[in-house]
Amino acid sequence: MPEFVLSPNILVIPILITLVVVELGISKAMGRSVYNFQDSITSINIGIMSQFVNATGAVISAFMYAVIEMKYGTFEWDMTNPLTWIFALLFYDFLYYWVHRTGHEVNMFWASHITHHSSDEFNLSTALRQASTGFYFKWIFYMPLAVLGIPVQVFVVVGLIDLLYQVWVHTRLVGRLGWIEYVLVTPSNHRVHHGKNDYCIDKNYGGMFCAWDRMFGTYADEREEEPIVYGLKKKLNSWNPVWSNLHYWASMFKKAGQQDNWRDKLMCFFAPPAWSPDGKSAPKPLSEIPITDEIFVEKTPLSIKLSGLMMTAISAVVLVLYLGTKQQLPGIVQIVCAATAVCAFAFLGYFWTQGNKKEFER
Amino acid sequence: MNSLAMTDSLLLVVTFLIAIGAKYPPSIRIATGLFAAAACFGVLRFTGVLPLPTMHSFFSGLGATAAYPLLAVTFLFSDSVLTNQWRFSSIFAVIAGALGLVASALEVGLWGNAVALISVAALVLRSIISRDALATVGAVSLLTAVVLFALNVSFASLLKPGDFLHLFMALGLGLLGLRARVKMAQTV
Repeated sequence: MPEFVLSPNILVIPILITLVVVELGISKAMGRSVYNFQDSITSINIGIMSQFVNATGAVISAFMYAVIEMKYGTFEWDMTNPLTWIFALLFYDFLYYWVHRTGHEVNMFWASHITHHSSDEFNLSTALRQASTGFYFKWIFYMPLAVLGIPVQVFVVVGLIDLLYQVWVHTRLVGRLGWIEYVLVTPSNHRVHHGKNDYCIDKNYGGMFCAWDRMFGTYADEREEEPIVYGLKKKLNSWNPVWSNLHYWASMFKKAGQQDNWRDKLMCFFAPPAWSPDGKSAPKPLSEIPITDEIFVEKTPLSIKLSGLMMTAISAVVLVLYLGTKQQLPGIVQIVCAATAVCAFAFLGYFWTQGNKKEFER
Repeated sequence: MNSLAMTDSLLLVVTFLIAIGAKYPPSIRIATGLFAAAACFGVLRFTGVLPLPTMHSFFSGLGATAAYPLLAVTFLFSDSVLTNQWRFSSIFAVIAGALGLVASALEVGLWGNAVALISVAALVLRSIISRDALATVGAVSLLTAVVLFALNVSFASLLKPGDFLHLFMALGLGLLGLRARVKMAQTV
């Protein structure tokens, strides 16, 4: 029987879920509705599934980073010097800006990152809605840190700090924060990032610091006179965690298959998401997009809600057990565990979505 | 100053001038920019001013795995978005570079040499087929650089294998740059 080992990513799980519950409580107390049950449960399920997959996928990033750092690492860094950490955090955040920007502006990377934007809500549970497929490209962008010789331990810790910082900015309950808006990424400027209003598209990519957005012309302030509408222009219409990760891949390959020539086929993968072969690449303004699918918000029977909640609770427990024992499991067992989790979420997500649809049709 | 520092300085000047030249297509500017970075660290290394050998070998590796293919693309598909748009040229460079890093991490030592050789051979073929004298001399120069370096050829105690690489690369890139510039001017 493998021994259970407590690691930082396990400790983070109950903290994140507590934060979601606290935000829900505060929003209720304020009389504001910022949560939708199925949406939030789906976000948490997507987060749990991504942990299963990325726990294995992250090995690729860590391996590549460690090897490149060992081979090409130029400088020796004193890990006891705070300046090392400050520099690493700043540079990591700068590189994160480019990872994130590429994730939005190149179709085959957007296919992965779209998962995070597939919620029509914006709350702390949205922060947990992380893609399971991002590990295949993100490591590339962090290689400059490895070449500079930043130790892998520093890289992992600053990466975690940067990621955890980004949790709290996914809220509608915090307004503008004065001068802080000029320095850090805040809930206000991250709301803009998640909006589908015309002025919000491809804006505010920063992770911790908004300086990069200001520097590269992608910064936009939240407009009080124009309430932000969250989510994707083309709605996901599913509570299935696996489909939320794969739907764009499917449509991208389908679109590529329909093209007559190789140039257009390749453009389907490398052009911006709004690209189309006929040149009508401008995205539709928000006013032209019909508001649909309230079905997923309104009519859900208690039995389906409870089954979803139970599934999430069980998955969270299994995830904690998995993360705590993963290091002692052979690689193949880890892959089987991740694959099993994906299959379980695929089936449960499918039935949950079907349940909702049937309820609506009735 | 040793010979490697001098020949790398020459390569740096040539590649830097092309990389900052607004009259060149983005693909060749990115490719020469990568070579310029490698040459810059080479000069710092061989003069002893700031020896950062790992930086030099990292950018040299990127040059082999990303810049050579990008250079080949510039001439093989001169009208494509890969050659003429920063966006696609840089995506190409990032992906080719990433493949190179994976090969390096997996200790596939031949990858860089093979990619460079195939890219340059394609360049030579293309320039011969299109009867382009300037590009042919440039491409053959690059091929000579890659082959001599791979064969570890030196000339008495005057020129080391690296010198041949730097000199023939400077000549080849200079001529190919000139060709790309002329072509772009004709297109405009």
